Amino acid sequence: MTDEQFESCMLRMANGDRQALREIYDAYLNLIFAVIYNTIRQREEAEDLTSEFFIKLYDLAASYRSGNGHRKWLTVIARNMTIDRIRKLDREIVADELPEPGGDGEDFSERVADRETLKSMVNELTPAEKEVLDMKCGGELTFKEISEILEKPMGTVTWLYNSAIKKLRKKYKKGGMTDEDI
Amino acid sequence: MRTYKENYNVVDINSRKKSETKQTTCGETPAAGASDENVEQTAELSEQDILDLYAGEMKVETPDLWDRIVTGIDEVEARKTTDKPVRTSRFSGRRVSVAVTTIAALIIICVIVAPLMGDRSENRRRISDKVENNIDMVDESAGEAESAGEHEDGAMSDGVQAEEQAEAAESATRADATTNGGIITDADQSANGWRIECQLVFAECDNGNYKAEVKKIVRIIEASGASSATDDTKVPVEGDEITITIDEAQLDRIETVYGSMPTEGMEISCVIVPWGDGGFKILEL
Repeated sequence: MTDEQFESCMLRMANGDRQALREIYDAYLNLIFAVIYNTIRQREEAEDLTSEFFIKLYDLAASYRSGNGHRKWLTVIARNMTIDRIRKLDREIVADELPEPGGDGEDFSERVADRETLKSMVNELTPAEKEVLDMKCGGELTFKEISEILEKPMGTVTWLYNSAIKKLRKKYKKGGMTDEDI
Repeated sequence: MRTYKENYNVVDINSRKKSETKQTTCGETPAAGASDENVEQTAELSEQDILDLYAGEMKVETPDLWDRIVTGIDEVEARKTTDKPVRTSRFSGRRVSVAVTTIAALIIICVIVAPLMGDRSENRRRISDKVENNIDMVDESAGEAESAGEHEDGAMSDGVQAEEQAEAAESATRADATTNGGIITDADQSANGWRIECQLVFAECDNGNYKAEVKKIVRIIEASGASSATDDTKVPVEGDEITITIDEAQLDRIETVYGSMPTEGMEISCVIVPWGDGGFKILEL
């Protein structure tokens, strides 16, 4: 979705057009949910916050001011909402304390028992790598935008991204997929 | 053992890639005629292929929340229709209302009240004297009551003495009312104005310390001798409420405050003085 299309949808939403919200929802649900989930690391909370995000977006449509980079704008709002929720819940979740990949923490891949290989693939990624990959893949954000959102140097972001791609590629590499993966 | 395709039956692109991969993973020889290019593609996926695979994974893992969102929006809109309208303009804040009230009061003072100032000044002095006398009488009323018997032979006649005692008692009642946070007051504005007797109803009173912009309600309990300087000024009637906005009023000084009548175009001003312990009194209206 381009900035112009997004702006058009926001204008329609301001006039009560829910179909416009649906278009934004279809385009960015994956991104928003991933951003929120990667921050709060609890699926139910992430679902609640994602719902609240789109409701809030609809409610604020009338006050939206057009500009460039609506993906970044959406991502920042989603992330700030999540951080506010974490503070409200008085949790102390920081990146270093997030469950390790494959650890005992709740992981969405565990819900799907018959998709062992994808789970294995995702679990290969660190939370930081997954966060970058989610933004890049789900929201098509630029590295510059991701670095601004995550407040990390762009070099770090690109390194995390390349590391994630490398890990995933390794899984698909010839002979790299084992019976265990399958 | 599950086949790879079964594992990835959700996303087509996954199925394609994984099917190809499985051939090599299981050590099977590529089918006869399979090109080296196909094998190479399987071995080394492009970045875009991996992103596609990952996007498919994200899509599968993301819950469908549309129904919840629609329900939430319905609730928000229903709440909006039932709630009272909320001020949204930053110009509708209290500062502006105070300023408007002040300006309107000043205009009224200039246009309507100023011609009466001569009488009002005189009246103010009279009321102030009365207040001061009342204070003195409140302080002295107990002593006077005790010493009343001792002054039977004094120069003051019994009639005058009884009148003063009655007045002192009335003053004490008023002072008590003030101390307790409520006051009954009266004001003879002038011969050309109204006589308005009001009862203060304290909306907020925190141990006599006025908070900024505490609003007091003055209810007119009697209005008589109606007369106005201009035709467009409505006569106050019994039961009308006057809202007086006290901005940073202090107990240790006399405050001039302005009040607005419920009637459009009608403003009042009054002087409030410290009175009693933690109370105040309206001297004029």
